[in-house]
Amino acid sequence: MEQLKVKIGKLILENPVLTASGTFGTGEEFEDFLDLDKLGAVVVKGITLKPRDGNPLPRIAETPSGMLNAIGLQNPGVDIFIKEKCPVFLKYKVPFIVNISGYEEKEYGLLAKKLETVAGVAGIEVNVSCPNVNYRHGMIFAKDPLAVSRITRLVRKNTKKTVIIKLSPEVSDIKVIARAAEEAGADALSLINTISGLAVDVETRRPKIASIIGGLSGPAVKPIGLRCVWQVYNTVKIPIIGMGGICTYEDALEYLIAGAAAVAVGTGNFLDPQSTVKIVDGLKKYFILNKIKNVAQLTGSLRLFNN
Amino acid sequence: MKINTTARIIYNKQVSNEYWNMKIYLPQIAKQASPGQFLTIQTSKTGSPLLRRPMSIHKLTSTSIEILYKVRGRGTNLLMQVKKGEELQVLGPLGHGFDTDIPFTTAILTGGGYGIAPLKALHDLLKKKKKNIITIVGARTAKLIYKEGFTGVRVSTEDGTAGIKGLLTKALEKACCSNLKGPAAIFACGPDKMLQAVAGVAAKYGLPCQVSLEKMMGCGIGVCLSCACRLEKGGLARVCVDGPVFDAKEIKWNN
Ligand SMILES: Cc1cc2nc3c(=O)[nH]c(=O)nc-3n(C[C@H](O)[C@H](O)[C@H](O)COP(=O)(O)OP(=O)(O)OC[C@H]3O[C@@H](n4cnc5c(N)ncnc54)[C@H](O)[C@@H]3O)c2cc1C
Ligand SMILES: Cc1cc2nc3c(=O)[nH]c(=O)nc-3n(C[C@H](O)[C@H](O)[C@H](O)COP(=O)(O)O)c2cc1C
Ligand code: FES
Repeated sequence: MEQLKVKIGKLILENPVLTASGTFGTGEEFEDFLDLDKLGAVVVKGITLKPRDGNPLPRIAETPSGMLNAIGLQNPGVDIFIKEKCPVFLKYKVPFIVNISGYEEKEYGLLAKKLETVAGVAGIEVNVSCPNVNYRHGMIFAKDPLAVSRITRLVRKNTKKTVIIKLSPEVSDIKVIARAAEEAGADALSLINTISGLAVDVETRRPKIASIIGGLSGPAVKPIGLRCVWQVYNTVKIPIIGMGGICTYEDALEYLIAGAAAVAVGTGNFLDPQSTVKIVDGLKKYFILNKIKNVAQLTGSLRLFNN
Repeated sequence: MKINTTARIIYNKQVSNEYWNMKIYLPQIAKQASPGQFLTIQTSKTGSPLLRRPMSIHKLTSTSIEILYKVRGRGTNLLMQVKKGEELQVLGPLGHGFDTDIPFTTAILTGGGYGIAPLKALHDLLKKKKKNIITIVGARTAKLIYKEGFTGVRVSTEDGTAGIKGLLTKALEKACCSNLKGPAAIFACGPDKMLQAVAGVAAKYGLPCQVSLEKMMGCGIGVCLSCACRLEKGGLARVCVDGPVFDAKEIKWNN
């Protein structure tokens, strides 16, 4: 459907529904449930320069309307990823966006460089905000506008592909961080990543996940995601991919109206593996019923009270 | 092929002190499923609890699947309240089940607690394959023992209120020492500690041993990496897709 097409950086997406990194594998895992080409884009699990075993178990815990995770970026490392996973991307029409994480700023540049020549990789989503890893300087990059700016420049310098910077809501002013990424050359912004939290087992008095603190996702974080999207929409000109708690097409619409150009489904994929395509169908119906001509007509169309 | 579907409940009843038994009309999933595989079930339509609950396939017919479950927390409490004729969201068949094509003539099924759940479907398949079956059912105390439908049962209780007193591995060792007909294989499901001990006994007697593991699961389809398990050869497996059944020798137990 033509009305649903959106442009993110250099990419024209068939519709504004993406998958959130770390909740969709590399897409193959969902082949029994849906046609990947029906999605706007597939954002694959986060990768790092070196292979990583991830954190000890338990790695997840359920919380009211959400879940905590501290997977710890378990992944085979970029080289194996390129050799084993990327060739599969060529089977599909849907663009694949690779999510990258680093422990030092220079790793982001190296990752972008390695992916630059890989056919089938349409874009790079830069995770500067994963709360589950111990960064060398004890702080996640996403909290520091200067670090975000340097990392964005570094990735930009090493790739012509679409660059998306993924932000954390856990900052004193997300507008400042968003502006830093935009000024440094980001094509788009993804928000939000998970929010750090804790859950306790009262029988054992242990934290419910082994690494104590994990990232909260799911419906519980939706209002925070929406708030961030609204604030950033009013600050930058580049498109925003909104995420956090999207399970239904109504959730997706909320994000679009708050200022997102596209949305991503994360935890929703665990609750219903077909939720992404159901959301696409829901949007189609809504667009027809309400005679909406394009996504831009909805993006940021929040009607304010004027009293 | 994994299927995500709405399924009708044929019955849901309490079958013992601890266990409930639910029969679900699932023709498409049942057709492809094998013992040791599992389902994930949405226990709430309102998102509370949020995640689906993994449940082993307890019995299998051509059109239905039964689960046997212990009521523990919110999810299983809701499951318990589901009535005949109502519908649930079910995903399956998931994971890799038991490999029954290995050479053996006697199967020693070893189930601790609700670990006996997947062993019933296996039992029924092995009966059809004309294997000799010994079933070792272990629990803390007599009233927690559930052995409905199993044959060749040997009971083991920690407090000695029924069968052999002590840990289930004691009963298992006894079985291993007995006059077994032909080559034997062990199939086990239960808590990690028990499985590790069972794997030890299997190694001692040189018997092949398959274990079905349980880990917290976020997705059940291999994408969230919450169910990782260390392998002896190095690296990690995902219990939901590479398991839940593994050759006991593959597992790195002390991690
Ligand atoms: C592959 C597999 C097969 C299983 N088969 C059976 C079965 O046949 N019969 C049966 O009674 N139980 C089975 N379980 C365990 C069952 O999934 C949990 O008992 C159930 O999820 C508890 O849900 P609850 O909401 O009632 O309890 P909660 O209050 O959520 O938790 C109670 C306990 O269950 C554990 N648990 C909660 N959610 C999960 C989850 N998603 N995955 C694993 N453990 C969890 C928690 O760690 C906690 O110790 C199986 C688990 C797995 C992984
Ligand atoms: C199990 C799990 C793993 C995740 N892994 C990654 C990751 O590797 N990289 C990343 O940028 N975000 C990761 N995320 C964050 C999601 O992409 C998303 O930003 C967040 O979960 C909020 O969306 P949701 O509420 O729809 O899940 C992960 C989330 C979950 C639940
Ligand atoms: S439960 Fe998600 S990968 Fe196994």
